[in-house]
Amino acid sequence: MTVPDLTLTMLGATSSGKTTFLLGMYDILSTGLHGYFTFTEDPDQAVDLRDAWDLLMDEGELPPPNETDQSKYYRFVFSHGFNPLVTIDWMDYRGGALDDRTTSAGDVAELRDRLNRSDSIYLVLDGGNLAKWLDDPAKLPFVQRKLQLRAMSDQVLRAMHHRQAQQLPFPSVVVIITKADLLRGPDRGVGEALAQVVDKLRDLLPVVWAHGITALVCPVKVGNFGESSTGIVDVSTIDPVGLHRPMIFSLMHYLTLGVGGREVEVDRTRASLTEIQQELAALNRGFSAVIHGHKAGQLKGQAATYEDIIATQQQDQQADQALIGRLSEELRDHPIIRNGELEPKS
Amino acid sequence: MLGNSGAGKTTYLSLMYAEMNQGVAGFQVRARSGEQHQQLMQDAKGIRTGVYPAATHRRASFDLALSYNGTEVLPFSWRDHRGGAASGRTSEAGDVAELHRDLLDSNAIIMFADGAELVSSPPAAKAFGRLSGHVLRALHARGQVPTPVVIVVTKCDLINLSDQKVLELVRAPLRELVTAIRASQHIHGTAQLVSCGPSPANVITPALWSLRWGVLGMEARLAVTVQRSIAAAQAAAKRDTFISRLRAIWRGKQTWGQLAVQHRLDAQQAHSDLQAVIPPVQSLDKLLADVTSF
Repeated sequence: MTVPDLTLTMLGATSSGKTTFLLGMYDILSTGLHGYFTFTEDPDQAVDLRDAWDLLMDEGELPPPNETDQSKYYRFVFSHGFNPLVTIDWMDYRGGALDDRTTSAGDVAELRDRLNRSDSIYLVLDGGNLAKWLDDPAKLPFVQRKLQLRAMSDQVLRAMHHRQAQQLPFPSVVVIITKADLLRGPDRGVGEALAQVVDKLRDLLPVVWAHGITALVCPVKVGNFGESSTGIVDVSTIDPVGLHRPMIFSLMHYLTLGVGGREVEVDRTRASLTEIQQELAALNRGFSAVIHGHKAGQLKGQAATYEDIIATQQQDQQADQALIGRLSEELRDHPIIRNGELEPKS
Repeated sequence: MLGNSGAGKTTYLSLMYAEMNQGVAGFQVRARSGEQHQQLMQDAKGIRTGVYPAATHRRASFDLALSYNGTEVLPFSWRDHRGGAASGRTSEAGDVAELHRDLLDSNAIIMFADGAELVSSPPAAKAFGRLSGHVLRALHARGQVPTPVVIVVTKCDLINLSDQKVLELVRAPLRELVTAIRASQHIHGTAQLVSCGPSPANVITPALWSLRWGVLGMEARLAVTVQRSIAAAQAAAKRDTFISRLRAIWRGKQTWGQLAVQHRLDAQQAHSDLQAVIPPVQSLDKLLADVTSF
């Protein structure tokens, strides 16, 4: 089986925790978690990611906001043990990329082109800001502005329209809630807060509830840093949770689309086989069998080829389904919104 | 050899060489260069008195050969990299790129973890885990090439392995990689606890286990050469007709009959080489029968 290539784009407002999420995710997956590994194709990128993570682990120094920096591009391989599952073309957009005031026309066009090509889009929301809104619903406009939700929603909608026009499947969406520990409030635990956020995403990020979109809402945290989420943090509170799940979901969704495509292929091949078998049955009736012996032989050969193709397609389909099953285990109890419906928790 | 700084790679190499050079169950390792032989033997002697070799500052390549009962069986090159190369950038130091190239080309990878550090320092466990990324990257690029991977845990004389908690601290950082190797069809692995101090322990096994795969590979290649040469000889003999001989003479080329003879000689040579490889393979199988592989 060939290894699929997945294009992934991560968007989020400045200081939403995109880069810290990426560093934590890479650190965890580069040494392996539950059999899954990630490594960069370029060994130097692994060193960059490791050094930045070590700075956090050793000195408590969070990565600086990307706003003054450039968007960053990575090539990852995601594998189960030594079995490569997918190569990932990953773009971490600088926070300011969503802000028209700081973005050139060229950057806007580049971002749109990138999103149009993306198989998966990560929308990174700061859990601390979401908590402010849960505490006081009147802060909705402030939170929308702070998280740049409208800009994100518009960008994803535009990409959906483009892909629909091109008859391409919609990208999967992962709403990554960083600093998820901050969702906890005086009268609510993280679970309750998350349920409220998922429900209110209808207003905050309506694109997530759009027909045709499959979205995972994934709370993550790198540590219990409290409000001081920039600058220096207490290293003893570093406690990464859930950082590998967005990648698992992207792959699972990508494979699910592929399985759907394979089913169509199998049905098409089966239909061709049935036609040949019917033609063969007609040729084998009475004297016809004697006259058309040569043609019958040719049809038998074609039927055997189709049977082989179906067997291979079914094998690939089964392998993908087994992998999807394994991946979905990692996402157990996580809210997944499919076609505007919240999937029942498994 | 792949390992972080201070993991004991150079120390291991010296002690392994000294022991194997003395001969083990008919096997012997010799350096092609007298200078390298002297260096390794001298370092091993120093280690036995508590004087350890200086850290490797740049990549060193040792041309060695494994022999069995006095006959050379397998020439091999042993690459010792600077520990820092495993954590450096290719753009900053030439030997980092060399390390990645060696990982791509190697017939066996020997990873080193400092056992004492694994027990006392969580960052050391993380640092070992990160070596997995280099191995995965290299083996991914190579495709389905069968490759032995040895995980050598050094300085085991400095830790109490009879304590289950200590043992777990050693095992935990290796677990993901061991599970991945176990699940793989083309990667073969073993994990070995060794001591490389004044009283060395188990230094032979990692090297012999890796070399066994080299000898097995040679045996398999020779067996294929025998089969192919016989088939080629038969095919050439069938085409050896009076007309074809005249045609070959006219064109100044070898006749099919001459080619058949050449292929038969090749088959005989390969068969003779194959016969020479079988006893060391059997001996290695016996010697390593108790080694747990995954």
